[in-house]
Amino acid sequence: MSDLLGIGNSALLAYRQALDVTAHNIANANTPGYVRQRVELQARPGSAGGVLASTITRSSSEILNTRLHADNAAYSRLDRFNSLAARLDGILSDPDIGLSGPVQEFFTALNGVAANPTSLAARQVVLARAETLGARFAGIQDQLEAQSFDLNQQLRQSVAEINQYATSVAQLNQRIALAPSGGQPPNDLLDQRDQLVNDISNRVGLSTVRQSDGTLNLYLGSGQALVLGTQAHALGTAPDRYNGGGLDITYGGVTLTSQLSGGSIGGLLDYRREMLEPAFNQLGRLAAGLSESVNAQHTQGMDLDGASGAHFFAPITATGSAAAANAGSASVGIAIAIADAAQLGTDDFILSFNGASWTLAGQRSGQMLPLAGSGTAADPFTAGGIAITVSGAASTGDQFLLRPTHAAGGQLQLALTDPRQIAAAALPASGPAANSGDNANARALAALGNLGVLNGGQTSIGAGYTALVTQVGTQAQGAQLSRDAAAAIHAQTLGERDAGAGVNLDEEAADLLRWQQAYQAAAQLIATANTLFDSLLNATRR
Amino acid sequence: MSLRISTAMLHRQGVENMQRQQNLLAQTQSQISSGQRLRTAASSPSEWASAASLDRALAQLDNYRSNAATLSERLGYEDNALAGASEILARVRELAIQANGGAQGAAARAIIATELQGLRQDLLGIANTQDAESRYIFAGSLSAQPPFSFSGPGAAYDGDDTVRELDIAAQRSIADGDSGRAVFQSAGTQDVFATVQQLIDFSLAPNVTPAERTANQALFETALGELDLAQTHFSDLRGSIGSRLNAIEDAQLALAGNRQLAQEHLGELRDLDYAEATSRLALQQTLLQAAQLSYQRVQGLSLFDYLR
Repeated sequence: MSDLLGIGNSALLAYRQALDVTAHNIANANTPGYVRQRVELQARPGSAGGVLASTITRSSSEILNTRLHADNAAYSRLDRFNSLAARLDGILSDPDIGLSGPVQEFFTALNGVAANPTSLAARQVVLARAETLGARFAGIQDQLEAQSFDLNQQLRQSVAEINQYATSVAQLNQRIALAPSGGQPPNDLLDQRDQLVNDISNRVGLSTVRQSDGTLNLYLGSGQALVLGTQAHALGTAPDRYNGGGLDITYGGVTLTSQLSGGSIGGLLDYRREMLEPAFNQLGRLAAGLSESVNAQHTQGMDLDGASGAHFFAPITATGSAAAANAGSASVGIAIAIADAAQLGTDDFILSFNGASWTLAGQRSGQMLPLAGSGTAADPFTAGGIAITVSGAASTGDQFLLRPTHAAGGQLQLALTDPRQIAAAALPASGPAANSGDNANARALAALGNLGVLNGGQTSIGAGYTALVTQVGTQAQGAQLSRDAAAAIHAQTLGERDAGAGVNLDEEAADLLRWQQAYQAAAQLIATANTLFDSLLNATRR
Repeated sequence: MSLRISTAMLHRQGVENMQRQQNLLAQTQSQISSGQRLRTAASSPSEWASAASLDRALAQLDNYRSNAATLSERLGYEDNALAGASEILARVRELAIQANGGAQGAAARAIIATELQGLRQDLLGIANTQDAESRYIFAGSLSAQPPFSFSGPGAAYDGDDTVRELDIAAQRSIADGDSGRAVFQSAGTQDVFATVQQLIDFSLAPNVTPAERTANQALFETALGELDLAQTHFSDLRGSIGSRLNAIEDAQLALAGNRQLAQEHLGELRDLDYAEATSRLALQQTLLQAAQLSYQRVQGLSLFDYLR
């Protein structure tokens, strides 16, 4: 009978625990990262009989978790890339922001001067259109710079979040390792840790290694440990080595940018490299091509006062900067000028000194470019449409970033102030004369609209802008498709994980019913034991 | 055993499904409200590029079109001026022949000479014709000042030989006029003003003695020959203007044709097919409603409802 009581009592305890677990499941049905828990019932060993809630298991699959981390990283990368690409596509495609209309209107205005070279009204229209065009260029440049700024902010924020999560993972590792062996597994701590790892994998690609003591090590792309046991290692951000405006991700003071992939950080870095930086340079190349070709033609003509044509647009200046690590940078002067806009590419350059000579390589392509000339002011190095003058003593290993057109989009400014300064006339053989009614130079200027002035003379300004928009559009379209595919895969993996780990309320309701009935039955056992005991007492009562 | 479905996943799927339908609906709605098929370049990069290059072609065609109109107007001006000059020469010829008639006395010839002087002045006025911008059309590039002024028997030309051209098609430009030198100083051996002056001199010359008559006759014949050459030159020029105007008309026809083609093509690329879009909208609405309804139904199912 004591056995009956004991058995009943064990059942009450076990089912009470089962009910608690079911309640825990129901309560956490919507908790992110929560993994469904199950009571494992076991017959109590020994002769006494009864039931034992031996353990509470967690329906988690290591394989699915690993796959989920990879899918998180892939999906987050494409999602972030896609949203940035869509924004750039939207900006460049917008007729109120884009260059297509203003470029055409500028050349139409020049054609108007060709038709009516002495009309001040027609000349005024050209100046107004040129100003509009410059403002549009600057507007797009501003948008690109705003994206660049936002991107840096997002990198900083993602890095801060990763550091915070990594610290939490390390702390959880510590608590998990301290959990008594043989006791109940620390299920809720494991859930929290998995969720944190998911959050990190949404931000950067990682790999995990589970240790025998239950701790989880996290490694970044190429093996740098983010969490090692109970120790978290922080990521940092730092200006890139040329101080070019972009941020690098650092690990222990060393740049890690090129080794990271996946996650929102991967998306940000890929977008910057594959779309944003090329967009800057392509826009700048259009500005440089326009400015250079219009100026070259304009200075061949004669204005309404009989003077030779001045510069129509203020000249574009290329930018560059020395690597922070340069030893000789203080005494080395690098001057870059755009020598031939038609030869400009869209890559930036790295100029390096190897102790004996200078070499030039594309920053993104890595391709070496042969340098013509000797680098002096009289005979500058020329390559890729730019002229480079080097002065001072460089040290071995010194490097310089040369950006021919990165800033050019913001530099297209009208230099003329008076409509009479438009050199519509060709310079007559008989010498300059004021008030000329000739239109030959205006015609030539208007014809520049359809002339190949970029890409070695292949591409006109208008076509160049279309090429930029189309390229961005193609990348954005591809990003959208890839993102959707990654979303489907991600949802699939999430579904598989949830199939094991998710809470189904109907199932829990059924369990609730089941455990409730079992609990009631166990209570009945106690009552029965009580009745039996009473009967025995009654039988022996005198 | 079938796959377990977690409640949170069921909810998530339902919401995602609705969001997807709403997204598609929003895209169609934005197409319908803008009337544009292509929202951004990413909608269809290759079609976007074609449309952009058609835009550029259209802008260029519009430039050519406006140039053609300008040319027609300018050449019309010149033709008018030349027609006036031609009439003047015809009247000069008439008067000269009248003066040459045997019956004319010195007084009558003096009256003719006066009228001829007036005509010579008129001819100078035509040579100094101004356009709507107050520029002299027969001055080449030096069009701010009157190009012609009387100098001796003829006229001095202060313009130059520049001829302005305007483009009316790729690789096709047309001169919008002719230089004054080419018009008034290129026929025969002298300028047209000198020829008229010769006839004035002829009309004023004594014409009584046989020797005078013989000399005058020679002068008359030389001058009349020059006059006829000038007249022929004017009609040649008008012929050249006529053929330029024809070329412009041809170009205008071609421009209009190309313009229409480009616009039609552009319409196909950019304009929304409303019939297709509205039926798509209806379908997407139905799908969204179905998604909403099924979400509502599925979420309404719970075993807990029966545990009372």
